[in-house]
Formats: sequence, C-alpha cells, structure tokens
Amino acid sequence: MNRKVLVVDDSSSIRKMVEFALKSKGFLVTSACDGQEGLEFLARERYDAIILDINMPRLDGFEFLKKIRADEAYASVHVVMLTTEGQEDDKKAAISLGAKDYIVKPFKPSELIAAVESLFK
Amino acid sequence: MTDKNDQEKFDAQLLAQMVEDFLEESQELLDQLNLNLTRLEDNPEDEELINEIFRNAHTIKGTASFIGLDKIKEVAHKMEDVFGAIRKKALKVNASLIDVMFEALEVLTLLKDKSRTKDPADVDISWVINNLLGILGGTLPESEERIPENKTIAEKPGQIPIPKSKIQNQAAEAAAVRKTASISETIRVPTERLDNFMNLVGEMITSQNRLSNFSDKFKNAELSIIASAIARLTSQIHTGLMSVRMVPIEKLFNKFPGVVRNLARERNKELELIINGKDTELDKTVIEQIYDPLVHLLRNAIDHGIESSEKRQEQGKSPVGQISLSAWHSQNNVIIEVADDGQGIDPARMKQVAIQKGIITEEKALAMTDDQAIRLIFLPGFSSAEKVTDISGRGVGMDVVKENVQKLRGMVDVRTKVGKGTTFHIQMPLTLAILSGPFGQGKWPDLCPAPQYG
Repeated sequence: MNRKVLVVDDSSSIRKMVEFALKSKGFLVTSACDGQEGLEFLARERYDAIILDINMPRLDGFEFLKKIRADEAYASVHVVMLTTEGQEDDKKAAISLGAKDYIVKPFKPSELIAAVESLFK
Repeated sequence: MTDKNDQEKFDAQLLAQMVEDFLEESQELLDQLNLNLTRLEDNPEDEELINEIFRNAHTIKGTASFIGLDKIKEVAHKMEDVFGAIRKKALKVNASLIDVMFEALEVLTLLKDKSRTKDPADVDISWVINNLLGILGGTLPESEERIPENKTIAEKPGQIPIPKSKIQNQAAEAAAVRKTASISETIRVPTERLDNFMNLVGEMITSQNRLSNFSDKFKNAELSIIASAIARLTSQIHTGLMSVRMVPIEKLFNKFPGVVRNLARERNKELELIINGKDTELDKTVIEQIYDPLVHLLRNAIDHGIESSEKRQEQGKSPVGQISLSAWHSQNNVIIEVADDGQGIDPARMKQVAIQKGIITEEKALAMTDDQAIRLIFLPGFSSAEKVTDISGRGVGMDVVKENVQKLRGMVDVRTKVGKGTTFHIQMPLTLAILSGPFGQGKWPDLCPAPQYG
C-alpha cells in the first residue's frame, strides 16, 4: 500500500524537490503552501506522514503542530519537521510538541527519503 | 537506492532542478518584496505588512541557503534581521531604512539574474551588507532571543485590532492568489517550447494556405471539404496557442511603484502613481519588451513633466503630482498610456531647441504645426545628455522608446497641453507571434507585417 505524505512548506522549490524525492519512492504526495492550507487538506484526507516547515504565512509550523496534536483524529500521523541549521531550540520545540523527527535544512533528497522511510519501520 | 553512486546522482539531479525552480520562484518573491516595501512606505506601522516582508526575506534566505547561493542568502538574511528588529520594535521604519531595503532588493535581483548554478563572482554585495549592518547598528540593545515567528495580531492579548485597511485586503488577495496558484491545475512551461510550437504553427499556416489555394484550383468537393477542415483547425490551434501566451500585465505593473518611488526621491518630486488595468492581458514577449520603454516614459514624466511642489502650488495645482499608468484592450490592440499632470510640452520651445541643435531649419520650424513641433521629441538627436535647458532633457531616450515600440509593431504618440500635462499613448498588437509569412494572403492578416508608423 502506498503511504500518503503531506508536504507543508511555503517555498515552492523546496515543495517540488520534496515531492519529487518522495514520489520516486512510491509515496503519494500532496503539497500545501502554508499551515492553514495544510489543515484544510488534512481535514479532507487521511495522511500517514507530514513534512512540516516552520516559518510560513498565515499558520506557522509550530502552531500547525499544536493544533493537530490537540486533535485525537490525527494522533497516528507522523510529523517530520524541517528545521534550519543552528536553530537548536526549534529541534527541541519540534520534538516536545509531538514531531517524530526533524531534518536540518539544507538536506539531501536521499536523507529526507531515509528519514521518511524510517518512520514506518 | 542500492548503489552509492546512484544516490549521489539522484541527489545532484534533484538539487540542480531545485536551483532552477528557485530562480523562478525568487522572481515572484522579489516582486512581492518590491510591492510590500512600496506599501510599507505609506504604512510604516503596518504589522501585517512588516511580518509579510520578514517572511518574504526569510523564504528567500532559507531556499537560497538550501541550494548554496550564499550571496543571495546573506543579503536576504540581513534584510530578515532588519525586519526581525522592526517586529521586536527595536527599529523603526523610516525613509533611509526603506532606501537601503530597495538597494538590497536591487542587489538581490541582480544576483538572481546572474546566478545559474552558483554565486555570480562579479556581483559585489559588501556595500549593501554594510548598509544593512549600519541600519542594524541603530537597533536598541536587546537580548539575542529568537523572535516568535508568525504571531498573528489576534493572538497577542490586549492588542487593539487594526482596522481592515486596503493594504490588508490586498495582502489577503495576494495570499489568496498564492493559494490558488499552489493547488489549481496549472503547469509552467519554458517560453522556448511555446516559441517552437508557435514556429511550427506558422509553418502549418503556410502549408494550409497552399492547400487551400490548391483546392480552390481543383474544384474537387472532397478536397475542398478537407481543405476547409484543415483551415478551421489551423485557425483554432493558432488562436489557442496565442491565448496560452497571454499573461496579465500585472506582474510588470507591480514593478513600477518601486521604480517611480526611487526616481521621485532622487529628483525630489512629490507625486503619486495611479495604476489602471492591471489585469489586461497581452503576449508574454510583448510584456517583457515593453518594460524599458515604460521606464523611460515614467522617468521622463518625473524629470520633466511633474513640476516641483512650490511651482505647482503657485499655479494653483495640487502640490502632489500625479502620474497614471493605464492599460486596456481596444480591438486587437493593447493600449498603454503614461499620463502626467505636469507642465506639458511647449511647442515653441521644442522648435527653438530643435533649431539650436540643427535638427530643423528656421524655415521648416515656421511651417510646422504645434502637433508636428511636439513630435520632434521622437527624433533621434533631439534628446541630449547635457541639460542645457530644462526642456533639453525632455527628449531623453524618446527616439529609443519609439524605436523599441516599433520593434513590437506598435506606435507611440504624444498629446500635451502646456500647464496641464502630457500623455504618451502606446498602441501595440496583442501578440507578436507569427511575424513573417507570405504577403497578400488576405485571409491571414497575421501573416503580413503590420504597417510601421512614423
């Protein structure tokens, strides 16, 4: 069964890269351009994992994470947070808010694939 | 990914594609930044706007750093720092801050244009970084704690909600546009592919014409049915392809508030720019090529059309000059007008200058009507870099404007009234596509070059 992944990032070039990388491994990928749109997609469809950026317009990654972790319906969705080099607090915040893992930008496409695949092992 | 080499290749390939995507994406972000900075100048306290600029810079920084475009990253990073400080209220928006931001924006645009797979070596960013650091040096001392990101106004307790202004509406609109852009079913295609396609359609029309002529000669019922079917289909493909190439002029027009603002500042003029008809569509190539002529016309209006505030008041005009930039469709043409409410062009002075410069003889000047005298502005050699008189500069680049517009198969004209203002009127065909073909095939007027004006 193909796993479904939601990518939430406001940078279209990062979205495309992540999408392409995951699709090449057989994941079904949907992209949202900010947290608000991410929530809308999440309400319509079930996802297995979410790749989540932090700084986004309208609804940022942390607020998004708080919202979905407060909702039982999304308890089983794994979240991988995209953090930026040097922002150590972000990593801690991500994990304490309920992200399963984080990847530090800049990352290689294969690193992302490895991180997402290991979610389901 | 069993093989390590394969994996490296895969990574390199995806990252290379990402650089290309970023260069395209960053143009949109830079356009947004430009527009937002222009708005900020009128609304220096608008928190929503400040947040948005912060995010624009942050996104550029983040993605540029991701793909190793370090110069872009560094400039965007410093801009982000400045707006971070503004969000923390450690810095205040003022005219010199905005100037430095526009400088930084220009450098970013230059870097973006010159970056291919790596940083362009010949673009110096140290001066703009220094200017940005200078601004940051003026911050009130504060701890280095990270600013909480993207707090919306409503979330801050005790804060009075800002009345919904036009700017906020526009911001919401922009967000809505961005949103549809990411979910609606669109594809981006390199213009080159469309051009190739267009050339093929051009060839097809030629062949189809031959077929029609041939079938007319033969008077064969079946042949003429086939020929007219092909003619209809060709025409539909042609029209369809043209419509694919049409884009709203908005992206181009959005660049002008920033341009005009800078020029007005340089020249110490007070003016407002009014933009009409942003959603007018025209051929992408036309849009790209009309930028320079329009900048010329705007610069001209600011330099020589709009008077100083004092002079305007003496004449009973509003101290703030007005320049309008408008676009609309008229049959198969698009009209673009740049109008100012400045001092107008005086035909007598035009004649005088033209005689001085030896462009026309005195006899010829006497025989000239006012309209003809004003159009001297389009003659090569009329314009001069040296500003001997206040009118001598009036024609700077006007012959170039005319030439460029003519290259687009368009025409440019001028109407003016002394003391009231000047309007430059550009008329261009909607599409540049299919420029050459056999002459005299009345059925396909597109195949004949349009008459040249002037």
